[in-house]
Amino acid sequence: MIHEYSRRRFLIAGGATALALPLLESFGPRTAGAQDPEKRRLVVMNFPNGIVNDLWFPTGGETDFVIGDMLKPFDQHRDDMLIVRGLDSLAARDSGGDPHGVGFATALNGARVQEGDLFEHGAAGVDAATGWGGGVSVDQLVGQLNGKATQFQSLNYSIKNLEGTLWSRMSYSAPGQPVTPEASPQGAFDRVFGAFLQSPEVLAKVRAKRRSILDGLESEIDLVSPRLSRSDALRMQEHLGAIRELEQTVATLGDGALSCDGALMRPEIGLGAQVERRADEPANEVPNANNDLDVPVRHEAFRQLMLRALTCDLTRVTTLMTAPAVSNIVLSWLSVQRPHHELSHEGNSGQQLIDKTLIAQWYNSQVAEMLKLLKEAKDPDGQSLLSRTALLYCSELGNGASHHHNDKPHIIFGQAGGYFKTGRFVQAPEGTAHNGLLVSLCHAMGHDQMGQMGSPEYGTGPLPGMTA
Amino acid sequence: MVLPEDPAPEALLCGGGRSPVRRLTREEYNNTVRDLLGDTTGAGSGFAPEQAKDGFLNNADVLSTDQLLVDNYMTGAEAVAADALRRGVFTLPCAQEARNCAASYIADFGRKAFRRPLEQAEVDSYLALFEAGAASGFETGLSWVTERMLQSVHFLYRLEPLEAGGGHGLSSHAIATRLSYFLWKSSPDTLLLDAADQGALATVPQVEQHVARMMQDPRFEQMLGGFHRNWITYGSLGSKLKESTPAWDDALKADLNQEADRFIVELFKSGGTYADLFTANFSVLNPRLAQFYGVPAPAVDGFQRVDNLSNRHGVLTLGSFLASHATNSQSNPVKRGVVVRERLLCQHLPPPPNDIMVMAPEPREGATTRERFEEHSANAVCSACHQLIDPVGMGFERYDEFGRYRETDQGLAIDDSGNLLNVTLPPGTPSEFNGVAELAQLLANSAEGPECMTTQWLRYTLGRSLEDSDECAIQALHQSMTAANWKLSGLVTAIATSDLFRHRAPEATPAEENQ
Repeated sequence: MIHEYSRRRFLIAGGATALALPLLESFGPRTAGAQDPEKRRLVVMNFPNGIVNDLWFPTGGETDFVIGDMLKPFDQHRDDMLIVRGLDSLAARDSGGDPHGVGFATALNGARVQEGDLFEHGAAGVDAATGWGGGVSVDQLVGQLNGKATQFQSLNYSIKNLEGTLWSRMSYSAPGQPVTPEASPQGAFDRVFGAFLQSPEVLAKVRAKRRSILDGLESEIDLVSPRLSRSDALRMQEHLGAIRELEQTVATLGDGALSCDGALMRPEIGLGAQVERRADEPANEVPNANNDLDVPVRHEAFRQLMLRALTCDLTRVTTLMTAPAVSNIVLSWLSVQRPHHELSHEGNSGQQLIDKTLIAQWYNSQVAEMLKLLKEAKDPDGQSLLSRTALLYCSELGNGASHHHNDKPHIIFGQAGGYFKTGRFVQAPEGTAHNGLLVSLCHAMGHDQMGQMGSPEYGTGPLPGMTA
Repeated sequence: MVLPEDPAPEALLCGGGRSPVRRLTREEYNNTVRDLLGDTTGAGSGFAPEQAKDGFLNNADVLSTDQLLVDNYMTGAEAVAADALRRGVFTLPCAQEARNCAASYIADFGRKAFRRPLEQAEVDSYLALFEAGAASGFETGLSWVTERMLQSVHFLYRLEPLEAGGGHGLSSHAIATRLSYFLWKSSPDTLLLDAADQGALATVPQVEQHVARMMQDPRFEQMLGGFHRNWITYGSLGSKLKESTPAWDDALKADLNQEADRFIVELFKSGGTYADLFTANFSVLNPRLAQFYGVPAPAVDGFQRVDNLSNRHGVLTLGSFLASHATNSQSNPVKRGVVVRERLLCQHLPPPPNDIMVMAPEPREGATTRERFEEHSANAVCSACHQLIDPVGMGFERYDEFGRYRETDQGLAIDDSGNLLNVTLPPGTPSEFNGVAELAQLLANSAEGPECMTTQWLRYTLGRSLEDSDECAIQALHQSMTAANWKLSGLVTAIATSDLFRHRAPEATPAEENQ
């Protein structure tokens, strides 16, 4: 049963399918920002299937760059963007395996993909199969380092509900440990904001019960582990680690409501039943335009959830997987009837170019919408969220048609508290590893001692020329 | 409880199999809470999806656990327990004082949930939790107990603790659990648990007896459907550009998927063999499907077996299979060739090399699918692999993207001749063929086909990847299956009674390793 706790003036939306979220206006954490004026946020979003390089990247110089059709939606955010060209995923190049898969698995960690035979779509034959991604991704690393202050170390979301494979996971909490993103907006809402709807009395009971149950679960793992093989005991330790992280969340259950006091609820997003409770889909399977029709409304829902979790300081790291690698989403609402991946392998003229441009513009407009919200939302000291945020936007491939891992698209939005010097288009020397940019993000998030991401063979230190 | 001593170890021909810990899949979770508590809410369906490998969702080698999943387990257990509380599951007729009554529940429900008797220390630990919860009432106390059990690693994982000193033995409770999650995708029933308590699952005849019994249960039919969907890869019915001809709606797609499941079950029940899987000329149809396929409708409503269908060749001509392996605008011989190689022959094909523009030729008037695809396969770089793929897929050309039989393509005559290269056929059998009927015969007579079926069953049953050390057991299975004419239900029994299934490879605990 949901208890409405009126003191916080939450208005629960009528109708079983409406998802109520705190109202953005009149929104603002009461104290948290003031205690930690330096709190910085990291947001990650991806563009699937790689790009058409010369049509995607701007022309012109560092500050007088000219945006082409594909990046048009970012025109209004020109001063907040730092477009970096010329970065390669050397880790992907050295990983073997399927180019989409290893491009995705290395994008956020810069580490060579693990060896193994788990994912067999090796480009050079069966021997080029791979395991999972081989390093902690920058979002998870920052979450682990900075997340103790918030209820969730990170919140990871996905537009599609996909089985876990190399192609459908972009974050890793450790080498070989993919992070499963939440794909249900309702589930995500319940998990993050559900406690806001409970009275303190009910919350206290829920916390007490969950704590004693979690305690019991932990001791069961401790007791059984010595009787298992080493590899099974490791699985149990992984489970135990996840329970400990959950304990952090349970211990602070509902606390975010205090810092968001004064927020209103309103039936902001009428999520129809059609976007909920859907079955998961195999990654890279048969394109199904009907199944994709709710993609836009899911973007809207997750955008709002991410924004509000950041504003309430429930987390400072959040990711949205807009599509898996090799995405075959059919963007039929744009009158594009061909699956995205199929199109990405076709020519750059006529209808195919029109469709490719429409797709790029649509994904980019989703990012632009997120930027607009981050810009409008303010910390208690009046600073916009975006000014303390770095939003990394990247892809699994460079040139999508030819599966290249060089000249991959990277855009940083926001200054992350003054670290990044935005309003620029920067070209890195040919052959520059993207690892440096991942290090830059760690520095921007307050960890300026971080020397490397992935492997040192791909360079150390932050990417030159990024800072203000 | 005193457990009977284990019988003397069997001499194993091939040794037991590697046995990583298995986690319940969402399907298994749903089935299990249904069988334990009468839960029909499908609470597990909203959990984080499994990691996928080789087309299956239960491969222990790719398992990974994170905070989202344990959060799902927590809220899932809360929802299941709350529903059980509402339904009065915890309203026990207690003749004794509450604490003893709770202790009975803990021992009884715990035995079903953990699939073994609880140790006294475990009962005590859960009793303490009961008492904390019972401050809000007896039933709440039991609800707390249930919530914790449903989040316990003893419930969520199929743990098979090692016996001191190594060895390949499995406890009889571990065997009961393996049998029930193999044949039912759910927890052992009372008969299996009782047999395990009595140590009566140690011999092949004892296991056979339970297998025969369990194969009569509807849960076995569900498992069959689930396995074959994953193996043969039917049931992924996407959208089609020509949605209106026929009315390609959800009702039709659901019927097509049901047809496939029902065909498989019917084949098993009627004693079908591996060859029948590809050559059977019956199906299980309802009037809507009969109209879709253009065959006479069954006499009565609902699904009925329909025999002697022309243009029917087992799973290869199921609409659900054919339409799953097509694009939204055409039949696509490449996709159909690939699925035969990868799923039915277990032959792995490398994807196209980098720097190649990969695209299917769009349909156009005045050219058949074959003509358009042959243009793209003429490229020398492509043909090395495509000579293995396209000539197989071309054999399906008399079936359109919906899975219906057709006589013409773009108004032109269809050439569905093909060639099944790189497959071991009986001496003197040419690899060239015409149409699905002859392709099906070649698959049925191939050496690789039945072996691939065994491989896929073992991946699914053992819940892990296969490796070189499994080869001995696989060969033993093949010998006995060849002697038994590859009867499908016989393979299930053969696997359940195999050394690989009933034993585990010796492994050491970390402490033993360090000694």
